[in-house]
Amino acid sequence: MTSLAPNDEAEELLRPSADLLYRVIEYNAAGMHIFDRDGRFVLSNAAVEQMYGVPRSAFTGLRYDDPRFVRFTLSGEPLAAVDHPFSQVQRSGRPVYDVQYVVTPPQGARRVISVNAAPLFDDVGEFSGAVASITDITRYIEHQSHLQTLAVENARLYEETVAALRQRDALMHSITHDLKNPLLSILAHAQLLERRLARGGPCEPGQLSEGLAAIEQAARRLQGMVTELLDVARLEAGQPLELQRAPMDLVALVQGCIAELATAGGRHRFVVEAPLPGLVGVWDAARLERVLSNLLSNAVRYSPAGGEIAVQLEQQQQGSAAWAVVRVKDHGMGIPAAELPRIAERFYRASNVSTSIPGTGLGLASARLLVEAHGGTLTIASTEGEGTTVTVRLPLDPPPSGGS
Amino acid sequence: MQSVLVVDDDPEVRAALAGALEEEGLAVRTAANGVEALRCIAVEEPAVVLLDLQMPGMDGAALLDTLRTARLTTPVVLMSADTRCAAVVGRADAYLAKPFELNQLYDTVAQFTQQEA
Repeated sequence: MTSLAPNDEAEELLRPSADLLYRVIEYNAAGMHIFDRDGRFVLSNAAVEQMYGVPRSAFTGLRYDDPRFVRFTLSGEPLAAVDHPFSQVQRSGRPVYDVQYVVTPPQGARRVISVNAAPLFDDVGEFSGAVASITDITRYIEHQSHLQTLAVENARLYEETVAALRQRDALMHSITHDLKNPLLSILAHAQLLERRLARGGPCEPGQLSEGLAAIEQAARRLQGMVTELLDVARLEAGQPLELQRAPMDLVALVQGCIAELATAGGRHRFVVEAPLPGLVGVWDAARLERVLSNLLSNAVRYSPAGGEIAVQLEQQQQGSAAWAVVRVKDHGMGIPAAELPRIAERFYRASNVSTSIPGTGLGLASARLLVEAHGGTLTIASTEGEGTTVTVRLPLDPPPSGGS
Repeated sequence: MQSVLVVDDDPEVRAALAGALEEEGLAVRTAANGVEALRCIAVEEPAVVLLDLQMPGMDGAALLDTLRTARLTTPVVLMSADTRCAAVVGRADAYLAKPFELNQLYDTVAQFTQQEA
């Protein structure tokens, strides 16, 4: 007989005591099964009942490869019968360690287990069965897969960060580009005036004031760009804007913005639909002008084939609150549906925009933030290839809290 | 009189450059985009084209390619604030990086207007 004990003293202790052996098995913290030579469960301990939530009698008499057991490898494929620890031990006559798989016994709970198993031999050294010790590693595996999910999530965050940095690079590039035009205009006008003065020739007051006006206009444009950048940076950092609220007419503002765009020349037809003579609210005129001029110039820019751009203004009553609603509707290239949720993010530009269309990806984000600073909302509906409608809703009255 | 065509989608830039060039006695035409520019080049045969690279619709690079494909040899001076456009710049006759000085503008334009004057 293969000796169970490492020395005589222990053997002495064990031999008379089937009871001791029984207790060691029964009260072992690990689940234990004893199989006969055919692979039938002949004995299971208390921990097995605990582990699977079924009485151990559920196992007794079943063969290890009974089809009522559902077993999978950790990679999700069915566990082949030959890979079962009993089968391995039976074939090799040697113990196996840490065989991991997922098992659902008949009516029992699904568990991820690690199995150590060893062969048993009878008095003449013939294979007579196997003993298996089972550790429930369900929690450990779940924890590992949680870690794996975390790792995947980390990788995704990293990718997003890299993408955001790239967008920022593109924005920096684009902003420098945009700033250089008014700068060029200022330089050219200033140097032209200098040359005239240096020549000592006649410099008519008209020419002088014209040049100075052009310089001022370009400088204002620069100022507007810088203010917009600062506003967006401040709002995105969660700092409130100090709005300069005063009663103002939204219809007049829209018409002013359109007049400015129309002087730039182009193939777009603007149609303003305003059922009211005016739409007066208490807003920050300079900031709303930026909102509207961003939305209108987007509509122009992203419908390069020209066409009609409709601006609809109306007043809506919602309970006791009155809202001004402005819709800017173009028939341009639209925004791919999958990208709509991201489109009002700072610096985000849709993938169907050719790189030749200038833009920083700042306009829409800035418009949304400025509208929200007024307690309003900006929403976008778009169909790629058909056009985009941006809807701005602004409360007619400032919030009663007296805040911004 | 020799004319210069200024192509830029920015009206302020068009006005500033036109003013500066007219001061030097040049006839100036302006165009706000590539398509307008093509029409103008075909009709007016300007001595040189000052061409902005980044424009909506047909941009500077596309216009330059169209001209060269059509074997139109009108000299083209590319203008751009973008320093990353070496490949396109190589196909133009000269390059002005925005913002440039008036002297640079006059010197560059003179290369293409004076030999026939």
